[in-house]
Parts: sequence; C-alpha cells; structure tokens
Amino acid sequence: MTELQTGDKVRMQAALEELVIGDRIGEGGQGTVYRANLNGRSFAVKWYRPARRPADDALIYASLAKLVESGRPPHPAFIWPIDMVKAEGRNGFGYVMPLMDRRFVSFAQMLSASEPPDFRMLIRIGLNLVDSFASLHTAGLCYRDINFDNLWVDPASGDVAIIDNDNVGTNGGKALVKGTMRFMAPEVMRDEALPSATTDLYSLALFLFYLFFFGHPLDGELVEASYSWDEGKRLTEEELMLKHFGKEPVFVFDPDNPVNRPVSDSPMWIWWSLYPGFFKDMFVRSFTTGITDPNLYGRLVEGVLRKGLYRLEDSIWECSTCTARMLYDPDDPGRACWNCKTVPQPPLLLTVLGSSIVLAEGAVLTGRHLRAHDLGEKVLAQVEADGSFPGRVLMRNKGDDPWTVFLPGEEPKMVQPKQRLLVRPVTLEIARKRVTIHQAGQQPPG
Amino acid sequence: MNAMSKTIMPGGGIARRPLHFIILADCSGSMRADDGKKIQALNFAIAEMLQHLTAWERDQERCDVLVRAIAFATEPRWHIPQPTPVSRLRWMPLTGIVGGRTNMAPAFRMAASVLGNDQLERRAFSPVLLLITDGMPTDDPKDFDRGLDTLMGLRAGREAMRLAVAIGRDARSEALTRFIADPQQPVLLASSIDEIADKLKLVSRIVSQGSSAAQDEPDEGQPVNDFDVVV
Repeated sequence: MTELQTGDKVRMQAALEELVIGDRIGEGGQGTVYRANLNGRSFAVKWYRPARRPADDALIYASLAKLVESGRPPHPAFIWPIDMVKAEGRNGFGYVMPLMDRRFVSFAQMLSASEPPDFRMLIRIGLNLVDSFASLHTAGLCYRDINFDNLWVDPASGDVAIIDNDNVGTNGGKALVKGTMRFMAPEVMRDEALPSATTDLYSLALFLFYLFFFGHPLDGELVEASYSWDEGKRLTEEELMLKHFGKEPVFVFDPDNPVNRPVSDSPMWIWWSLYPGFFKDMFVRSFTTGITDPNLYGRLVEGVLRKGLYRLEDSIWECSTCTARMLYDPDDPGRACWNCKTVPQPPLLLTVLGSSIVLAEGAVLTGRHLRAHDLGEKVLAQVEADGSFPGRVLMRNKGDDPWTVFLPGEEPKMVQPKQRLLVRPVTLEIARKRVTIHQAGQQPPG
Repeated sequence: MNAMSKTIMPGGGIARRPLHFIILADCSGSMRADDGKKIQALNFAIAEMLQHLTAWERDQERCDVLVRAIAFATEPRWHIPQPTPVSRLRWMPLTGIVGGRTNMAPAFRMAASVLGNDQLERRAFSPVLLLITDGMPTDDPKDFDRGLDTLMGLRAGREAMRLAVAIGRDARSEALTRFIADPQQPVLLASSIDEIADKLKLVSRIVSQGSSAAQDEPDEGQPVNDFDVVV
C-alpha cells in the first residue's frame, strides 16, 4: 500500500463514483485522512497503511464494509463511513465519510478556553454524548476507543461529532483496537477483557468526568508520587498508566480511600466542590464499584447518566450576591458560593411529581417533568430575567395551553401561551398537573 | 442569561503535565550565507513549527508545551532562557554570527544544565530536544563526545525525544545520527521541517500508547499487551 497524493483518484466501491484526493487533514494510528472532492462536494477519505499482518487488512476491510452496509446509528453525531474506496493500479483501500463541519473543535480546546462553557452548555454536551453512545449500544455495537482525539464539540450549540468510527464493531466481537490507555477500562488494560459496550460505559463516564471536573478521575497523589527522574525509580509512561489506571486504580474522590486525592493545584478540587451530591455519587460509583464490578450492574448505563444530567440541569442557579453560576444541592442548602464565599439566598423551586427545578434564568419545564409522554421534550415553560424586575425572574408559558394560577384568597388566574408569570410562591396547574413554586427549604404551599 | 449578567464560572482549564521542548539552533557563520536567506528561512520555519505545536497542544489534554531555545556557534547562548508556554511564545529571529563556528558540545552541556533530576518537574514528560544545523560539528571530536556524554548521562537527556534537522543535504552527518541515537528516527532534511510538528504529535501517541493499540492475536481472542504505534 502506498500513501495517496493530491490529485489521485479513488473509486467508491458501491456507488462507483470517483473522488479526487485533496490535502492531508489528519493522521491516525492506522491511516491518513484526506480531503476529497466528488462533483464539487467535499468529503473525507481515510486511507489505510498496511497492517503488521496482511491478514489483518482483510479483517479491517470486512469490518469496514459491514459498517458501510449497516449504516449510521440514529444519532447524527457519528461521522460514519459512506462507502469503501480503492485506487486503480494501487494496492490498499480506504473509506469515504462526511467531512466534519468547521464549527467543531476539540474538547481539549473547549475546556481550556479562558471562559469555559456554562453548566447548561456542559450538560447539553454531556447529554449529546450519552445519547449518541446509547444509540450505538442499542444497535448492538460498541465504539472501543473513546478519547479526546475522537470526540469533537461545537461549543456554541453543544452538538458533538464522533470520528474514527472504523473502531466500531459488534458488541462482544473480536477487535483490532484496544483503545487509548488513559481512557481504557482497567480490565481491558490488564488484558482481562476485550473492548465492549460495557467497557465503553467506563470510558464514557471517564470522558464525562473530564467534561465536568476538568481532570482524570484516577490521576492524583499516588500517580504524582510515582513520578521521578531518579535512576531506577522512574516508570515509563506505559508502566505508570498500567499501574495506576489498570492494576491499582483508586478514584481521586473515593470516599473510603483518600490516598489518591487530586494534587493541591488541580482544577478538580474546585469543580468537585460545585456539584450536588447526587451527581458526584454517579462518578463515585463509576470509579469504585464500576472498577471492582466491571459489568452492566457495576457500571452506569446511559439511562442512569441521562437521568443524572437532567436532574443536574434542573439544579442550575446563581449566587444572589455575585451572580456566579452555582448548582443547588438540596442536601447541602447552606453551601457558600465558590466565588464570593457568601451563602446565597435559597432559590425558588418548582416542584412537580416529586422532582424540583431551580427557577433560575434559562431553566425549563418540559413534558418530561410532567411525565406527559405525548409532549416529550417540548418546552412548556422557560424562566427569564427582565430588567424591569430586578432580582426576580419570570416564567413564560411556551406551551399551547393556558396555565391556571391559584392565589390564596383570590380567584384563579390564567397565564395564556406566551404570557409570563412573575415567579413567587404559588400553586399552578400546567397540562393538568399540579405544580408548586416555593422557597427552597420550605414546605410547598398546601 | 440576560444581557446585563456575565457568566461567572471557574476557569483554569484542565490539568496537564509539562513537556519541555528545547531548540538548539545553529547560528554559525555559514548560516549567514546566501545574503542571510538561510537564517531567515530557519526563523520562518521555527515560527511555523511553533504554530503547528500550538495547534497540537490546543487539541490534546495531556501536555503543556514549554519552549526554550539555545543559539549556538563558537559558544552557545540562551535565546529563550525561561520555559515559555508555546501558545504565548513570539519567536525573536536568530542571527548568524560572523566567523562563528559550529561547536555542538557546549550547546549539549547548556541543554544538560537544565535537565538535571532536581531541575525538571517530577511530573514532566520526557523532554524533546531539537537540533537544527547546516553543517558538521567543528568541535574537537573528543570534546564533542564529552558534551554528548554529559547530555546522555542524564536520565532526561537519555530519554528525551531527540530530533535533528539538517539544512541542506550536506549537513546530514554521523554527528547528528549519534545525537539522535535512535535508528528508527532519521535526520530530517530542512525541506521537511513541517514534519517536526507531526513528530511531536507522535509524542502524544507514544505517551498515551494510542488508538492504534492492536491485539497481536485477534483470531485467537487472546488480548495481549502489545501496542503497535505506527507513525
């Protein structure tokens, strides 16, 4: 096999169309990615280097052809192979796929920006990641190599793009790819298991931990103590990862084992302090039980992660003193603001069917909250700020039906679609469900 | 968010480890040749390389790249003495020294002076050393050996990724091959200076034992801990 050159032509094996190779846009472990042109439209072509063993080339080709045949999972995040390609008079093969939009940037770039995304955007991104991998796993497939190189994000919309889908295969099937060490499930690193949907769940939780806590969940003081330049003491990078991420992994915030806390200047400290207990508990489980019990019972499945992210979205508020973004924790209502260190006034909560939404600007009530399956994710109410009401928020009726507001000693009032309610402790009826607004820490009104 | 409020979130980025990158650039008299075009080309190439490095650093979560530079001729001097984040570096052009020789040993010693066990952060990755020259070393051969020994006597020097760029075909020499001391890593010709950033991209692949990690015996279903990093 040889490298392709600009101007070379490759032929799609099913569509029989010819693509003209353009500039090189990426380099992977297995091959090179080029821009390619088909009748004026841009695509990307990944062209493979020869495998160490020729038999592996046949395996790779067969696996890719299967992906082409099965088509993309329902989630749009996957940059999926469209067709296999070959070049006349040249050994080797590749596949053509859509070109990733320019709006996507690396997660590393987004998380290192001077102004990182706010919680609402981080959660939207997290939900998109969870939904995309859920669609893959539901189709009986697994990804096998979740890492920073393969996942991209549009920081403006929260959309994600998943590339390098040539790693994808049938869950439980044989694989040529083990993954990227820092993101591998420990049992894969120890060669006790092959990559699978179950190990994907570990890597997904690890990626989400990076997204919300800005560090690696196993990289703490124990790892720090292993670094050395002294002769005989220094471990290679591979030995270090195998030891701390594979053979002796300890979660940095393990409640029962404090030996591997983050190093003192780690950003993980401040981010960990911001999140409510229920959200942190998901990661405690992922990196304690999820390591010792590496199966679908020990690990968090996408449905659980999704539920936690939805609940976190309902917890977003801001400090009443300095307006720093915060997350309300009903189990720790007196928590001081991370920025100005004052204890904010408790927020107003909207409670329906046993769950609560903090009524801060941007919060939404959807059909999901009302368990109205016919409404799904439709937004029924959205919280807004208005300069005419300083220090207060309003709730706009975004649905198609009026709300009924019950005020003590008054006739019920209606909030018509598009109208707004000045948020205060009241009882409402929305889509035939009883909804209360009350101060956190106080009982909802009768 | 209303127009009046500003989003206040913790910043600071993600936790990364330092990767020291030291450039040893030849500023001998011959670099002034062709009416200074050679040294100008070198400055341009380094600035371009630093842009590639900045882009590479931006898109990965592991390394903070910290750059220093030594300009060497008869004697070496620090051109960038402090480890400087690559994204903040503004490359100040090098100039060739009239009558300056290509003494490499003192430059090796100068690099070694910042790579001692107690000078590097413990958590730092093995450094990257990049030697760029247009000619053969002019050191006394024994002194060249001693200079190289000083560098290779340090763990960080020995484990460093050592790259060499030869400007002009004549500059490829046994000396550069000995500096690299890795048969897998050839001397790069200046015409392919673009490849340096690609080589550094490879650093992340090597340290993370990356996505090409392949099982040796997939047919037998026995995973093995054998990583196949392909450049």
